[in-house]
Amino acid sequence: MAHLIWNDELDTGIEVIDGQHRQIVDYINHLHDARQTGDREAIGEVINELIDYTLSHFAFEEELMEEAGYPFSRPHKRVHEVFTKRVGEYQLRYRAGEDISAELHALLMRWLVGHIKNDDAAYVGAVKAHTHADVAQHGGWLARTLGRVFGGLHPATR
Amino acid sequence: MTVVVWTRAFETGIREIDDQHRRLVDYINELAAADTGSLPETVGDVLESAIDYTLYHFAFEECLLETRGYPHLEAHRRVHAGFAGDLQQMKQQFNAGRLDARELGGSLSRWLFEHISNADTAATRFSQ
Repeated sequence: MAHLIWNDELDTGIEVIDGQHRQIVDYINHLHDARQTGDREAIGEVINELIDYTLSHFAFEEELMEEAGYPFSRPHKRVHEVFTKRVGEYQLRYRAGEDISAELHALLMRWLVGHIKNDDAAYVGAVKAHTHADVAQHGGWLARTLGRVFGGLHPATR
Repeated sequence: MTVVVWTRAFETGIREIDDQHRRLVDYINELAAADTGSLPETVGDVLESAIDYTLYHFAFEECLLETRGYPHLEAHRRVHAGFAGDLQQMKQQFNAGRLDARELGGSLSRWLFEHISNADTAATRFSQ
């Protein structure tokens, strides 16, 4: 299976979220590359990094939605929890010696596109409206939240 | 071939839920459009995406009903769980070559009509 290539259709218009989605695309492609080498340890490492980053992204997104007063924050968060559980199970199976990397890679490719085009499209309006309403405060909040959720991991906080 | 055409009768009035139902309609039509010349891997991918998205929709909808205090939540959940099981069976039958994409599209569209017109409409109307 080939690399996932970013296209404009995947842009939500919220720069910080788009940056995170692009980072997830990179991780998914790293997983593809690691699978080509067949290096079990390297594949495991990419899986762990990818999942860690995705969970941070979820935490960030949830806070953004809540902050913006998006009325469906809770159901959205529930969906994140279900997905987290699902990828967590794959992670455990990999650690237990099962080679689930192809299955996981396919799942992540399908998931990311669906996540961006459907799930995230729904909250974008609320978040943008909130950003416009309170630019100065939002800017401060954004930087603080990025720092807290991603630590040194996020490109915008480096 | 389009097997399901979205009409206003499907609308629950909750944008998020309607968007998700529309998306399910798209998947069903995509499956129904697959003919005997379609590669099983391609159809399989659409099927996997349709299943993923249905489970996503169920989780979202159940949580929404929960937050709004819907009194028949457990019954609603059970219907969802039953259908999730049916989907897994359909996937196995498809993988074993015992079910083709058109039949899948047909089964899914029957289910979607039922899902939207009965359970969902009642539940979402209650919660408004």
